[in-house]
Amino acid sequence: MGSIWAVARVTIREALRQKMAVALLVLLAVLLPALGFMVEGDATLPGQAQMFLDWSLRSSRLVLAFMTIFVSCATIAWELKYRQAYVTLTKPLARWQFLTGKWVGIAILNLMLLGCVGLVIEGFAWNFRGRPPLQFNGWSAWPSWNDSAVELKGLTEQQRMDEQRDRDILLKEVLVARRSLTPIKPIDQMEDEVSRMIEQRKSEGRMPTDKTELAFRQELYLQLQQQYRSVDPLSAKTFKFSGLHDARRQGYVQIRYRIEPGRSTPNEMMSYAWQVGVERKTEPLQYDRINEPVRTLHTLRVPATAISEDGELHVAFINVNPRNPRGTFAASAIFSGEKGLEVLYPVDAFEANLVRALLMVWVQLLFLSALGLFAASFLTFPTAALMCLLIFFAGSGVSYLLESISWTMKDDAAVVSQSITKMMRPALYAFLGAIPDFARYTPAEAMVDGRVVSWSWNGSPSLSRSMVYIGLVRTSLVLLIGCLILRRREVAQVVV
Amino acid sequence: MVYRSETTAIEMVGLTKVFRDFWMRQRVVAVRDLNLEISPGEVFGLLGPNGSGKTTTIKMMLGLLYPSKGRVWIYGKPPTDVQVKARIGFLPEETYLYRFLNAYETLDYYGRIFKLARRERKHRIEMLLEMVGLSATARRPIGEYSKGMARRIGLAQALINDPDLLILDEPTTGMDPIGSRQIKDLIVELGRRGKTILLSSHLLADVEDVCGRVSILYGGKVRAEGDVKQLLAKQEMTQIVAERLDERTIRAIRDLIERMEDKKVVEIGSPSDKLESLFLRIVEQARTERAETAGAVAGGRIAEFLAAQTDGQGEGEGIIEQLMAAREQPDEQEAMPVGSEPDAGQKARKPESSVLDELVARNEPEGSQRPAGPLAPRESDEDDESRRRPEPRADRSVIDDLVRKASDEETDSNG
Repeated sequence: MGSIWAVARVTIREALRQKMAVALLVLLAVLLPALGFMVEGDATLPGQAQMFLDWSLRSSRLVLAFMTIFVSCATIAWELKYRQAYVTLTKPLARWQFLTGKWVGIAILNLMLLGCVGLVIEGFAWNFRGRPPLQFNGWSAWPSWNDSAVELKGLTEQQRMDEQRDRDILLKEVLVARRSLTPIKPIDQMEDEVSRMIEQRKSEGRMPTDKTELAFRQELYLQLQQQYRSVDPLSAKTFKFSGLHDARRQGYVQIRYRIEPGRSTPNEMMSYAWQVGVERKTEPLQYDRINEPVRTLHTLRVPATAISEDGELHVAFINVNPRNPRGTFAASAIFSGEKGLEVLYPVDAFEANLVRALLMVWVQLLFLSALGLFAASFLTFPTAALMCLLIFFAGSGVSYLLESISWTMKDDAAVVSQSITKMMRPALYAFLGAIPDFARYTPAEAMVDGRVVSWSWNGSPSLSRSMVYIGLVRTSLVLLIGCLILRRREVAQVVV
Repeated sequence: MVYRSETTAIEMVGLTKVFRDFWMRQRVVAVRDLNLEISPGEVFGLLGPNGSGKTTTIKMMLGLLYPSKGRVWIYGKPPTDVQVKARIGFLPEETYLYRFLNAYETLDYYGRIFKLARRERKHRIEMLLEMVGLSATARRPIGEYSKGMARRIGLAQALINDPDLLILDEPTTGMDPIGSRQIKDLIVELGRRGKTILLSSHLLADVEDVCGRVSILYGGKVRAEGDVKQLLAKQEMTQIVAERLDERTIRAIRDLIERMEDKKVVEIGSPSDKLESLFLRIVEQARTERAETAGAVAGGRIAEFLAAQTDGQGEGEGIIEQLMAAREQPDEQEAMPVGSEPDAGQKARKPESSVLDELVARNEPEGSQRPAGPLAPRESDEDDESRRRPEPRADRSVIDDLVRKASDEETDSNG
């Protein structure tokens, strides 16, 4: 361990004394505070904070990823090129210790830098909590732990209310860690329905001939899921959320939704109503929504008392204009996607969430540093760095790339593109399957939405899953292969 | 894994290294079927012109290259064995150290790899920096060092673990004459203390000065191997060294030799001061006057921890200072070689067994004879010795006797 630590220390020194790494760090040091002071977002306080969180986390991740790739490739490639390895590797240091030491050094360096990033972000979060909204004469007060210390003089009552609302959103929807639940799907019922439909088609001899029964079954299942998320005009549907025991201890839960109308609506608006606690004996709470913009996220805050003792919340969506039922616009309301309808409630503080988010970035950097060391164990610096960048960008868009491949296989795709893809598909799938799906474990989106970056295996994004899949499995594998290559490599080899 | 006896420090059997091109076609045979055995405590020289395979051999010994054929064992184990590496100190042909670290950090790094305890590490670093004369510049990045200074820190890193086996590849490259001399002195001293040293060089004088046994490589093959003295001995020549003689005496000796041995005297002359000696004297004087310099200063004592195997031979300590002091004595230049080769100024003070030696030996007190072998006291030790001993008078009397007898014989024959 002593030898590994010795190598790690020197690697940290090397990175900090390399102009390339320092340049990137200076960029980060300038960029983060600049973002904090300059972002405007949608001109609201929560918008400012969200944009700052988004940009700061994404840019930090990008800059540190670049730095990690360059440092890890350079530290091995240059050590071999400039032959310092001739001295180091003749010391009592196994080659796996040498490579592991480098990896540990870069990991510690990244941890320290992410710590600095975290402090800057937390500093600005603290600042946002006390910062007056942009539209009010710039800053009239500096932040304070006590909200009442913020004095906003000369505001109209409406402005004061807007300010209070924005601050409330900032604290309860942005600078917070909320758990998200989606409605329970009646899976059994859906499967029964699918089976029934297939049996009926079979009996009528209307089974499609261009696809397998399994593919047809999946298609029907997806159709039913879409139907489940859809509410016809002049009708209502109840959605059930469970597992809200913890939420009962909070004062409220938030229902977050985004409606896609079944057809174009006048002024892109719809009117409807929500009822919560519909299964309880007490009178359900009703929330009327008149002329609310569609295709936009909305949050409805409801008291935690609406949750039953067994942790269930029943929410009914009524696709009727509550003010004018007859004038209801005849369009279905569709809650599309996973985040089309969800219940959110706070489970942790923003700071703890930020730490987990940064740890998630760190896990990705652990992989990138192992990848850089692996690549440089048999490639020169520029080639190794290019390879790592390619994998980094491919890993950041795995799902997009997979979707692209599937599109090229569609019937209407060009024949040439189909045949090329057909030949390369196994290799492409193997490549995309082997590299980590970074996009799936990027915490910026969750942080911006005030969602919890969860330790839970089923959380989204899940820190533990990223640690296992990226940090443990892929990183160890890449590092192990790098060690094996370096062990076999003649470091003083000359190709004549 | 094949292990061998630890009784040999280095053993190579049929060692061959072939370098190939990108298409794996055989291009250069750097080392061919090399067999070598170096015993513990030996100072061994690997000689050869550029491209003769010296460095390739060393790299195979260190596990930096893998042999194409044959095996190499260091203390009975393969060179990749981590425990074996702990016993090796290596100075490569150029200074391959981290340019972003300073001298102290560099030694600290390698000390940590050798798992030296903190206090011990600090102690050794300070001693080594002192020894190589870099204490004053220990906090400067190595990237700013001159080549010679970088070589010095390279040497220090090779010694940080007090190695049993020291492998030095062209150790004096880039060194000024002082550093070069110091390294040679150090090699001799470490050899005397029982370290095994492998010295690779194409500078013949370096190897001749310090090595007991050498192997001469050419084209990757051993062309000659053996004891330096035996390889260099010119049995057909005899060298006599004496204090300054007048012309009459010289003529008499020449006549005597020609008459008694029926052989020709090849050369008689006065040796000139070596440029190295002159240089060392001037620099030493500047240092005595404390002239300013941004470079390396005079090296200090040999680091104490390297003296672990001295068996109480305290005379080795401070050897560099002794050497420097010895060179300042003007009277050392006065010895005059007789019958020496024109380029053998260095050897002029190391007379081989000769008529004169035999004659002198009879008049010397017991124990005053120098030890034979490669690690015999060097030039300066001899000078010290010669300054201390009263024998020159005896030498002179013997020569005088010879001259007198020759004159008498000449007179008799003339008469």
